[in-house]
Amino acid sequence: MITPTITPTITPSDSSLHSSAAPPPPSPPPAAALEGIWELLDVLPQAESPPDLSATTIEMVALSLAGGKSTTHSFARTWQRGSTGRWAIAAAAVMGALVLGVLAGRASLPSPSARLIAFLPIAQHVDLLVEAGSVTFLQALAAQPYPPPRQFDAFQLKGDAQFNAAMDSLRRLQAGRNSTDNAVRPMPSEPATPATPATPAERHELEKNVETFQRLSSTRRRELLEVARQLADPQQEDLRNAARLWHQWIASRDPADRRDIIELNTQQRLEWLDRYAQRDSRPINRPPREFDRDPRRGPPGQRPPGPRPRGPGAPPFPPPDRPRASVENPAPLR
Amino acid sequence: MEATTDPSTALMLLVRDGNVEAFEQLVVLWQDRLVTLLLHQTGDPSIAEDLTQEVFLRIYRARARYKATAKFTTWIHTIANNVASDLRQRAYRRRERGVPGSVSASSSMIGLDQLAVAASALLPTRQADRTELQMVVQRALAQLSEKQRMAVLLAKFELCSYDEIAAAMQLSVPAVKSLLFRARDQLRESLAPYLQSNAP
Repeated sequence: MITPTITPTITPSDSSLHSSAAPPPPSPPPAAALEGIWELLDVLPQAESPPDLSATTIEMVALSLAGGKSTTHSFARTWQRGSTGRWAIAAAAVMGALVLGVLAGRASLPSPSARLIAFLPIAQHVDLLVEAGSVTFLQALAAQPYPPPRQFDAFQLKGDAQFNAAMDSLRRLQAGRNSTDNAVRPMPSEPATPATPATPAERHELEKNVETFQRLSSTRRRELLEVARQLADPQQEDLRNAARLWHQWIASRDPADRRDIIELNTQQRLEWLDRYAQRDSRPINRPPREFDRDPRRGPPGQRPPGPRPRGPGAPPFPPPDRPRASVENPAPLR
Repeated sequence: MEATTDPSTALMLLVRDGNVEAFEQLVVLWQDRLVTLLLHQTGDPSIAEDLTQEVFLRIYRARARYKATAKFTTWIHTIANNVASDLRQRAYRRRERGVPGSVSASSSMIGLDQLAVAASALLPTRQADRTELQMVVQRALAQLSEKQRMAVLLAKFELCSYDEIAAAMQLSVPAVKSLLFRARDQLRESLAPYLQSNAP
């Protein structure tokens, strides 16, 4: 039996007629496309965001807008890679926007301090917050009775005063805001609270701190916001004391070493502190070593110059267990 | 203001008009959904939270350009997809510090030790509990390409239609269908022992 086969040919007019006469049937939902595994995907858990995520999100949005800079390197990438012409157009558009942005910024913002607005104290004390590290570290530090560093002199008291001023600043920031962790904190709707008029050097320092804060990862910024929140909490005196103690220890170190110490994680910081606190606990005026108690040399300060005298009680040199040089063994191993 | 029945769109229109409280409500309304979506896309909870914040940051920056011509859902899914893609591209190009390799689709939403456990759970004779099954499904999901995974997640967790997935991923509807069919085939192959054991 011969079955006639008909090859359908659709002309443009036919297709347009078909499309205008009857709409295409609706596609089945994607669940149908995933038939067989749809139920299996139910085992994937629904994530629960941390209770403070919304609060920190809003703070980050506010702070990022305050800094006036993007935290990401690419903003709205709205088209796929295309031809060179499209890239050229895009590049020209970006360059034009940059030029216009700079001009508009200079025209509308006569002072750079106008960019430093709400949440300024957090960015202002970002170095101190980075030094404090994390709430976990401060809690671990507060739980153990570490002594202050021995080499805490009057010069470093100035740093202690700055620390107290920073705490006051953070406390002022937190005042009037809801201190519960679960609450959504209000985002500053006021556009700008200009920074206190400062010297150009201080203003430059503020801008540098804001940029430092902007460069941190989102997770790190959230940690620092949490540290700032805890340090500003009037009930967290223990954490403030721990932060102050750690600040004193950092200030007592050589400036070249401080950055390395600050970059340690919580466990490494505690180990470092254990080691140096133990070293500091040793008395300064140590008793003379056994070597110095040799009555033949006399008391310290009255010792005769020259090598240590060797007498009948002195140990033989070289020790008897060390092989002596000989013709067969000209260079004995040490 | 444009009339709308979608609460998220209504909130976004308020945000566009400068209502800060509306933005807070939008964050509360959407953050769990976004964290879930991005958690399964990246496999790392902390990265998912960071990306969620980045999504809201972009939304707030782009608020003035928002128009209620499209659903807010599609808009936020588009941004989430772009944010996830940007992270992956940045990690690939520059090996940034702080960006773990887990954003790679091939390397893992779970660690090697967990992979070993999951592999052992693939034995047909073994009765896996829900945790193991979850791990196996996560592993299978991680083996999909980034686009396949996003399409599956949008379909499963956000209950998006083909059109919505296509709009969010800036693809055509046939391309989305192709993605989902290939994803289904790959998932079926990876999860074959469990599909058989679950069959009636």
